[in-house]
Amino acid sequence: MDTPTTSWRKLLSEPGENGHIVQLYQDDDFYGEAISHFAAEGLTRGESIILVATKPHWKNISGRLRGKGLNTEHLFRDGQLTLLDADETLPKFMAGNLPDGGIFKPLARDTIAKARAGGKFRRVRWWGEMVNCLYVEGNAAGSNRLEQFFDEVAHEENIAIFCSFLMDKFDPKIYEEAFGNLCRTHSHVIPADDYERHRIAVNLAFAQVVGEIQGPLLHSLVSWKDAQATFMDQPSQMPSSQLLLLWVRAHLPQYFEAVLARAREFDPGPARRKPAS
Amino acid sequence: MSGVMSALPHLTDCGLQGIKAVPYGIHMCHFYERREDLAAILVPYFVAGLRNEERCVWVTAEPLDAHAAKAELGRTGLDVEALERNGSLIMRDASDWFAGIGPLDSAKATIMQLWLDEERRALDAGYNGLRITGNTAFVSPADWFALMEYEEYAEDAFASQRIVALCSYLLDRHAGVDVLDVVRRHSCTLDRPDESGWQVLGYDRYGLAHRAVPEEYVVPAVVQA
Repeated sequence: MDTPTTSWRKLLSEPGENGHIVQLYQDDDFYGEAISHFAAEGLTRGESIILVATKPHWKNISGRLRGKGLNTEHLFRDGQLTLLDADETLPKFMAGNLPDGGIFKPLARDTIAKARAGGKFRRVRWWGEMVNCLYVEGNAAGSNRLEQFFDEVAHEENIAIFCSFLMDKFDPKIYEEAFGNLCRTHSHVIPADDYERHRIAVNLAFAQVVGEIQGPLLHSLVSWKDAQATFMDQPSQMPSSQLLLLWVRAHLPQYFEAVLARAREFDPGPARRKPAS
Repeated sequence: MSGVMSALPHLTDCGLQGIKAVPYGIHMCHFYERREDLAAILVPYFVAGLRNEERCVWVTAEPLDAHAAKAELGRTGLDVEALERNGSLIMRDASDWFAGIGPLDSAKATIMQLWLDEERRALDAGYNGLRITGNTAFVSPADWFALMEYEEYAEDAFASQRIVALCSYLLDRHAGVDVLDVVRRHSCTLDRPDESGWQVLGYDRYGLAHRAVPEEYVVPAVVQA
C-alpha cells in the first residue's frame, strides 16, 4: 500500500488518467528504471504506451523493458507500443526557440489516436524527453512552453504523461525558475531515486545548518498552509523532504544554499555513493 | 443502523479548550515532548468523549503507558475501572493492542479494519461513536514510511465514519521532514502555545479554527460511569 508521496514506483504504476509526473534524474540507472517501470506497468495493464526517446536513451530503456520480460518487437507489431525519435520529432513543431502549439497539438492528438488503435487500447500513457532536450540545450522557455502544451493535451485526451529532466535537485540555481516551472506544469514531482535516503539527508542537513525545530520555527513549519501553493501557482505533489527544502527557501532563504550543499553530502547520488560493505 | 446514524449529531466535543466542537471523521495529530504534554491533551480529550457517550480507546506507549494513563484519567474523578468494566473505556499499551498484527508495512489494512470493527461494535452497543488515540512512539524508525502510508489511509478511511482520532507524535527536533510528513496526513494539527488554550495550526481540513459550537451540541457535564 505504498502511496505516491512515499514511493515513486507506486506513482508510476498508477499515475491516474490525467497524471503528469516529472522525474529529476542525474544517473542512467534511475532514469532508465523509472521509464521502463512506467511503461511496463502500463503494458501489463493493457494500456498503450508512447515513448519519445533519443536513440542513445532508447537503448537504455529497451534493454530494461526486455529485462522485465517484454518483447518490444511484438509490442510494436501489436500496436501497444509506439516509439518516436525525439531528435526527429522536435523540429517538426518548433518555430524558432518556441514550440508552435498549432502544429504540436494536432501532432500529439494524432499520435494518441493512433496509439488507441481504434479503441483497442482504452488508456494511453506517454513518456517523452523532448522537453528535457530543450532544457538541456539551454532553451528553458521553449521547454516550459512545450510542457504547458503537453499538460493541456494530457487533460484533453485523458492520458498520463511522464517526463524526465536531467536536473540536480541540490543545485540552488534550479530553484530560481526551472523547478517552479516544473511544479506548475506537473501533478507530481519525483525528486530522488531513494525517498528514504533523501529524507534522512534533508533532515540531517537541516538540523546541522539551521538547528532544532522548535518554538516559532516549528509553528512556522506546521502553519505553512498549502505548502506548495506558497511557492508555486499550482500545487504539485512531492515527498515531504522536497517540500521542506521549498519551505527553507521561502522562510529561511539565508540557509537555503547551505542546506542544499549539506544534503548533497549526505545524499551524493549513485555515482559518488560508497559501495555497500 | 443508517437511520440511527443519521439522527446522531455530526459534531462532538473535542474536550480541548479553544477547539470545542469537531466533526466525526476527523483525524487530528499533535506533537509532544514530555509525558506531561500527553496527559494535558489526552485526558480532557477522553473526558469529553466519555461525557458524550462515545466508546473511548486509548492506545498508549511510553512515556505514558496504560498504567500511568489510567492514573492520570483517574485524577479527574472518573472511576476508570468501572468505565473499563462497562465497555466505555479501553486503555491498552500498543504492544498489547497490536499484538499479533505483524509488521506494520503489511498490516495497515488489518489495523484499519480493526478500528472500523471497533466502531461498528460501539455503534451497535448504542454509543454515539468511537474516540481513539494512538501514541506512535512504539513504531520503529525503520517503519516510518509504512506509518505514513497508514496515516494517509486513515485520513481517508475515517472521514466517513463516526470516529474521532487524535494521533500523538514525539517531536524529534532534528527531523523537520518528519514533521511535514505527519502534518500532511492529518485533518489538522493541534498545539497549545500557552495556557490560553489549544489552537489549530496550518492545514485545517474541517475549518475548526472558524467553527462555531451549535447550542444543541452542548452536553451535560456529568459522566455516568
